[in-house]
Amino acid sequence: MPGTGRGIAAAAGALAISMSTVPVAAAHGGSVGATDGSYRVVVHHAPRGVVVHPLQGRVAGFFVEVAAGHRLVVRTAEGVVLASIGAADTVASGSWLEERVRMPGQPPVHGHLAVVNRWRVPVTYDAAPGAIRGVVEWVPSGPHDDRSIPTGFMLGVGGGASATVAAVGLARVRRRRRAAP
Amino acid sequence: MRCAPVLAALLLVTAASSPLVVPAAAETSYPEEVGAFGALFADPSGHECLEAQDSSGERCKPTAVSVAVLPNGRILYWDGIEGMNHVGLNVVLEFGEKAMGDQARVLDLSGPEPSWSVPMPADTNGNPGGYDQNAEYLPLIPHDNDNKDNDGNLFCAAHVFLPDGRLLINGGTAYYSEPSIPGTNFGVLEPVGIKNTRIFDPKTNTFEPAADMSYGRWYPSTVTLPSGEAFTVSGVRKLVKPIYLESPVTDWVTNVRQTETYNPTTGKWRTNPSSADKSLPLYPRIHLLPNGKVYYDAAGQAFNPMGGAYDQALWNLTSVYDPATQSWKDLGVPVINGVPAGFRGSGFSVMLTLKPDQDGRYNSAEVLSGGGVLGMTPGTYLGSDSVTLNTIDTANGDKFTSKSVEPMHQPRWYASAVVLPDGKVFVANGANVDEDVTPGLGFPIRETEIFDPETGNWTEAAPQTQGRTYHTTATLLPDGRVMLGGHAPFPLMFGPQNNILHDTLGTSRNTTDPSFQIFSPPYLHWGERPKIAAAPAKAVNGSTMKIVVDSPTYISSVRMVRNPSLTHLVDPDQRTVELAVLDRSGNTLTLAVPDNKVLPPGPYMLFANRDSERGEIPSASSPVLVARS
Repeated sequence: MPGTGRGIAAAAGALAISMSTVPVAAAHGGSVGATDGSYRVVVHHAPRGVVVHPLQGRVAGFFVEVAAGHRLVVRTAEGVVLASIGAADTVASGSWLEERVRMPGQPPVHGHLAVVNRWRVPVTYDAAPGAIRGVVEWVPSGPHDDRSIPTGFMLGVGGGASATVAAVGLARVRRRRRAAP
Repeated sequence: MRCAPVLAALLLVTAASSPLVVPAAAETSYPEEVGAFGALFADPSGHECLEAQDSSGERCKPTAVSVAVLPNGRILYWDGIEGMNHVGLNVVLEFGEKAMGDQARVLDLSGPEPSWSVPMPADTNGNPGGYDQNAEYLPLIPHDNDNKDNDGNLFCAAHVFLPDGRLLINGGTAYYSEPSIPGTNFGVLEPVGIKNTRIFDPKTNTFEPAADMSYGRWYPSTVTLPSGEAFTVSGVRKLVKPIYLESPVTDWVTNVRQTETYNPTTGKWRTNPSSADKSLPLYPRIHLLPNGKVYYDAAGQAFNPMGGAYDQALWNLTSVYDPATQSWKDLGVPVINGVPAGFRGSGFSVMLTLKPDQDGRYNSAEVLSGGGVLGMTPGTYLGSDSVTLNTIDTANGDKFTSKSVEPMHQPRWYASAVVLPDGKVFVANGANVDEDVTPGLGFPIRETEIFDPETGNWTEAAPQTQGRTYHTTATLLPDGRVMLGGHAPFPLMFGPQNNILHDTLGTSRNTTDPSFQIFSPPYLHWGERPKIAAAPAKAVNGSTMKIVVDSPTYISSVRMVRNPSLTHLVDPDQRTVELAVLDRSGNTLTLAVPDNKVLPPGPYMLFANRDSERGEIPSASSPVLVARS
């Protein structure tokens, strides 16, 4: 470590340990504990003849199939058209991102299924007002995941291993420096 | 040893947290049932770097993170995340400075012993001008890009063969630190996608710079269109801080939505109109359908940027891009474990054999995807054993159907899949958990297995010797065998390399692996192989070609396999096409050469298969360069 003293080395070591969790957090949307479960967007109601497939994501999306001869229009709260789906002679489909269906920033700490958000997306179906409605659920890792390893524990092990190796490395560097003539 | 108590405690804790110990590999007793692996081999020259944090000062010999089987039968490969052995504290803090340019090698398996050569120039002409000329540094934030050796890395590029057999390589990685800690070599790693393109010429063994793309791309996918042009999608410009002050806000915190097309005649890229824009995951799993459209299989890498793009929900949908209209159409949601689930991350996706109907038409495509982790942010952590078969009925408006098929015997994160000349799918490599989340704490999956599309069943195959978990490759060779290579992992929890857990518990090795191992599938143990005595070096789309075989009456099928060109489980040009046999006369077979949508121009390996009691036995292949009419 050229050009660094003890203080910088210690600071770098501490920063290293903290930074080692950054990619982990990044891999899960900034939520380190998120590997213990996942969010699920569930549709409870849609206009008759409309098939709605929720698309999971940081911001949810929808893939919709509309029966032949019908048209579904989705607008933002400001009236901007997000999707206009329909065709006279065939089943039509389309998709859009839906900002009104959001995942909470932090998952619940408890380990059971829970509704964490309710949502409603106004639509126009064949010129009549309607809505697609549903919920966001938190789904903890199920019993089928009995082989799963608690994320926090894994991170602790990994962080500990990383810190140990870093500390041993720093100690060796310091020892070599002291031993150097 | 002073640190022994600490290490013992560490091992105890880790062992308690890791019940997923994979049983040791067993020796193969019945190669006719499970195939057989040959001995490990590696370039005898160069430095092994088997010890963690190798500080010998010598460069480590490269591992096969990316592989291309060249038209002359040799194998080009290059390294990834080279220089990881120099990290002393933490990857994130140091790798912006300590990353090194990825080395390339050419492997020749034609002689009695493997031999290697070093392509020129040594820096692969990756980014001759350095990254600074295209830099998107954040203002007022100190950065450190003093190390110019890592500004044009081949790692994380896309690569496809051009119609003339040269290899187009677009994108890749430049490394720097931002912010940096002034006066030190520390900072926050920023891997960025570069705009550069290089072309490797197998005849001269050289990399030449080619025209830049308009967008930097790290983890793009590129596929050959029927025209012979190369269509590239996705990639990210800055992985950790995807904020671009000179771009619209809609370009922030997502991947590159703009698509570009390379014209091999003009040697230039063009940016496609906005109708061709699409948000896709990194290294999206794409394939060219037999109607000439590009299919996205709702799979890729989803850890980016900063944990996921704002618009990643739309990655759950399969879709097709029509080069004629330059627009995309959504198809549907793939089924995983029996329910419409959508996205699969870090899994394989291969197109099964395209077969002609009675009239010689290719009317549908089947794409097999499996393993990896499921769902978007936050996705699963454990590797999945699930497998999905998606079918696109190209004769009926790309009608999409999806179903789960029998799961694999092993859950696999980051497993490689290879479609064999007999149409079966060989799967190898991978780990039991997502090693992007907890590097060094996963256990390698050494068991391999084979999927039979006819029965829908998986059969366990011979175990591989080395655990290869991350940045690995599996490549069909021209002789019908499969070569495993690669393994360039992140060190234990992004700290310095450390093999203690590997040596004691059997977790994945922290150091890179320059070795290879070749698998001889069961069909190579079923008796005499058919031989192709003569085949044309070139074939023209829409015409016929004649091949001479030793026993024409026994030939059950003739298949063209696109020369593999893969990295990170991605080979968008991967395709196996069965040819219609028009005539059998003496030892000569007359074959129909499909059009350029089914068989886009470029290099192929032509296999002739014969039936046996156990199944088809392929010949060694003949190289055929397909050209447009």
